Amino acid sequence: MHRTAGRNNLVFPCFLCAALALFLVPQASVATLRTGIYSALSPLLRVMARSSRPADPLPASINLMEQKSATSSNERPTTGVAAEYERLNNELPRLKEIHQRYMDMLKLKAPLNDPPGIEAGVIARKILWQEPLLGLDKGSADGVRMDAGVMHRGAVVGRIVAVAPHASSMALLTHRALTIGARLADLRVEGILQGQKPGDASERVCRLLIVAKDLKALVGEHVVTSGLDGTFPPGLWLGVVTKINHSGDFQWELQITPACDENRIESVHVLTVETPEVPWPQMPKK
Amino acid sequence: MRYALYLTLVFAAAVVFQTALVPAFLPPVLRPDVCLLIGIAVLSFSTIEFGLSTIFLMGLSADLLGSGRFGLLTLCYLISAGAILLAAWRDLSRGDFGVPWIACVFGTALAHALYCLIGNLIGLGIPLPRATSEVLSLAIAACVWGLPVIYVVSRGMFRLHVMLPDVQARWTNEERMHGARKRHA
Repeated sequence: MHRTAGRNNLVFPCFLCAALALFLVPQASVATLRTGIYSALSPLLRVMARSSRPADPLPASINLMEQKSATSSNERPTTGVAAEYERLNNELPRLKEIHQRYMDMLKLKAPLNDPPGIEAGVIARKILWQEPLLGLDKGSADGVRMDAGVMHRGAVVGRIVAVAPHASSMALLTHRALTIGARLADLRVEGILQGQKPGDASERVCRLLIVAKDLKALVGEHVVTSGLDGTFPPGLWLGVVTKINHSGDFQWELQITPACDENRIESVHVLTVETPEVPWPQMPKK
Repeated sequence: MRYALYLTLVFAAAVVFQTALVPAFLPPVLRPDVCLLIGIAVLSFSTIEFGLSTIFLMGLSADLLGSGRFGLLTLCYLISAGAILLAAWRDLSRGDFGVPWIACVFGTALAHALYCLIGNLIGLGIPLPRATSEVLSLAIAACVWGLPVIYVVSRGMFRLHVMLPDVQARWTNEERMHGARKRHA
């Protein structure tokens, strides 16, 4: 009895010490382990992700177009299908006009095509207190590499932070440790886009840090990639300025709302562009 | 051996539920902390050593999957398990479902409130409105899912004979009496 009571007195402190020792494990190893779990569970996660996915209107309209072309001239299409087709056809000029307006705002001469990459589905989202990370269903076996850029419908959403054979983890733009070379689209001033600050009330913001004496940025201005970090080509949409703060003599901190809401992202485009290698400078010969 | 097998089973179940099933089928307000519910359920029906080992393992899985700082959720789980044991060990080990259910709700609220508090001390910067809403929704989810988890976990422990000996004997007797009543009826 006494022996049992003595042993019980030691068990709890031992576990507490072990829990405190876990703080020494590096975060990179944790990300790798987590991605390994996603990789092991990827078939189940894919099925669950598909079952919980909301209905996307785009595939439905494409299905309607296919049905219309597949029907023969003798068959009459149903009223619902024809009405939906008419509605989408009427929306097309308005959508084209909005598309042209955004191209003018971003000063694009030609329609922007996504750089080469791999399509990946989102299989895991934020659980409990997790950092802004998403699990993807493609890994190193499919060609995903570490630190690759990730896009969604033409906008940058994050970067790959851990890779396993059949899954990978990506950090969203709001992740504290993420940095991307960025610039203001109109002023063309370069800066560094970082994730949210600890304590930020809103989860969907990141910061653009600019060193300049004077900055005439406006709220609503677009932020695009500068291409200087080598991960993303220049000119890709990152987000919109929502607040401007002069944090020091030569420091400006702009609050940026990312272009994409991570809760609505179901599939992403993982870039496969090679990061250019910067050659070592040669020492001058004496 | 039985204990190791049961630990492996609950660890696998916790990972699968927390990663795949809960996010797929439940709305955000009703998503419980499955790992902690399983840990407290095991603690309620087993010896202290086995219960704390399960809590530690569940904390590890929660840290891997859903923590901003590795080790913090494990620490908070253990502290809240310690508080539950201090406050109600005698009532917890009687073998019924009521007290473990209250322990699940209280333990969830305490563990995650501690997470926010210690997290802010070490620089995670969790804003107060978000902390309040998350802790509240986890506590509500624990109210809803506590009893089903306790039932399933306790039945599994009973089948594998990893319960407290007194509770195991009592449940075995109750099952025999129930079987005898059915035969007579």
